[in-house]
Amino acid sequence: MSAAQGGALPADGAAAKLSAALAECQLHSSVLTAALQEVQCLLPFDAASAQAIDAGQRRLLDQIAYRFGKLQDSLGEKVLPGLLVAAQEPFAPEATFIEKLQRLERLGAVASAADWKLLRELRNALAHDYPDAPALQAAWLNRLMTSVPVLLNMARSAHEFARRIGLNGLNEQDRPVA
Amino acid sequence: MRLSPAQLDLLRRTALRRFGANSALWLFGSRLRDDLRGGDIDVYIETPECNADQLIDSRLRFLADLHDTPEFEGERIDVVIKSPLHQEELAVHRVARAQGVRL
Repeated sequence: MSAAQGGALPADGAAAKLSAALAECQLHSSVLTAALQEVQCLLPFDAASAQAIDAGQRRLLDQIAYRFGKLQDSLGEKVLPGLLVAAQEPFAPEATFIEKLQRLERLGAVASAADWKLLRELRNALAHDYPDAPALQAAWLNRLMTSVPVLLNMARSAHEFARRIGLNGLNEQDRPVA
Repeated sequence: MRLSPAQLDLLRRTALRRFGANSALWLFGSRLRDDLRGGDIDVYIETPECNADQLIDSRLRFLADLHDTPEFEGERIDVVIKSPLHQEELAVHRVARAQGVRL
């Protein structure tokens, strides 16, 4: 029986690392959730409002971009690879990232492989600005804001999968906020 | 030119799929130079797309499509887009057209 069906995690510290990474994601998720609520009154941006962002609003948007990047990084670099190991899913040495992602989706650890690929591109473009095209700047900010709940949902799926495979140290307080 | 024919073909087909048949694509920057190693893949795209949301979406899907292939997995791709939504032409637009290779 595989770990995904209720087996044990490898007893080599991997579970502790994964648990720490999940806790890290929980912090990013909490901050993102609060910041997203705060930014709602500004949404959606249009070309005019995107050019009239004040210093306080800028700090809020920067905070969201920062936590978005951190959460995506933690999930992609630590949590998802850790869950694959913990689930004891066999892979050929030459398996591609896409094959692993599809396996995680089938297991339920990733809510949507297609969405994950777009979130990854969004994360890589966080530093991108369109100072010469206000309509594009507005559309970019709107896309980032509407993608935050998608990323939060990815964190939830990963967390719930970790609980299902019996990762120790996770309890109700550790669950990502809604 | 440090991209394979397969990579060039994928770039061209993916740009047409995501930015439309009236888009135009140039490769520019360090990947054109055989005396260098590594580096980002710099792509310049001109598109008549006027819908900002659509353009942002196309950009993300263009990159996701490429990174989905073994030819571009793990490659850093920097995309510069010129559309009617841009108020003025930037220096990078001129450089990409003048020094780049149209695909």
